[in-house]
Amino acid sequence: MVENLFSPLVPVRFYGVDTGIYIICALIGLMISYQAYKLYQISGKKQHFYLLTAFAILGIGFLTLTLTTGYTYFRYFVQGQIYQFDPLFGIDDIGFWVYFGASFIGYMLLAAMYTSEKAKPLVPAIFVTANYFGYINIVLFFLMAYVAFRAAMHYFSNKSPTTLLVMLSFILITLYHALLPFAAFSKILYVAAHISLIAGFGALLYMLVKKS
Amino acid sequence: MVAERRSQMQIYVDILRLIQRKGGVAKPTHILYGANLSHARLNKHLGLLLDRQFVMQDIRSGHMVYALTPRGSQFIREFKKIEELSEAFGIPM
Repeated sequence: MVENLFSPLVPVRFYGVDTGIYIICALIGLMISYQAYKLYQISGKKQHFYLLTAFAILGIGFLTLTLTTGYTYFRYFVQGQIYQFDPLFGIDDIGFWVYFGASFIGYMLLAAMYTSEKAKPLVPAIFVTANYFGYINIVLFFLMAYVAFRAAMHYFSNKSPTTLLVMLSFILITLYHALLPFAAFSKILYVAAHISLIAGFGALLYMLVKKS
Repeated sequence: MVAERRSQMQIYVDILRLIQRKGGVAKPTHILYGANLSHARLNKHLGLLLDRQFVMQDIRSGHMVYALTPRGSQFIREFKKIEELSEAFGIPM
């Protein structure tokens, strides 16, 4: 019988699927960053720089998560052991810390992109506790909710298919952070959060494909 | 309401699109009125577009005209794509 590696968060059948989702999100994030880089080369606008940097950092965060969770699953399935520094801290925790840091900076940059140049950047408090998973997701939820709100405002004033896709994408990524803190209560919420995440990045990919 | 100032890049694109709308060839006076620029500024921008081979000078029916080059047309297409990306995220070009 397979022991639950990340108990109580990850359902056994979902082992490795989350790693697959992270790599897809990383690739889509880096693709958007590359397109935004071309945009920035032409416009030289600060907001385009924020966009390219935000998605580059998010892409790197997801890549780190892919490597660390992938390595953890590899060790578990192939070698039958978990690589832990101590009973509470494993290599996948390093991945999550890097990812949360990357998300925090990335979402801050997206928020700055939507904030007028005169306004001061939004600086929410960072909660560092032993139960970091829930607290950081709550911070990321509020940051991303602001970004999604601005994208929604833009959609309702513009109503184009591409702005709709960006709005949906940001709402789905916000939902991902909203669901993750509750994954401790039900494993299905962990799966639902990841489906929401992949759907969000999928919407961004569809937007990129649609415009080209 | 105060109109937003156009970026340098937007002016180049406006000039190229204007020439494209005129069938790929336009007289300097048409560009001058269409792009809403002073004579001096238009010459400066056209000079740069010539340097980058986005337009070329030609003589048609005894008049000097500016013609859009394939490189210029490609630039307009590329610009449209990234303009759409920018617009999708709510950032004006």
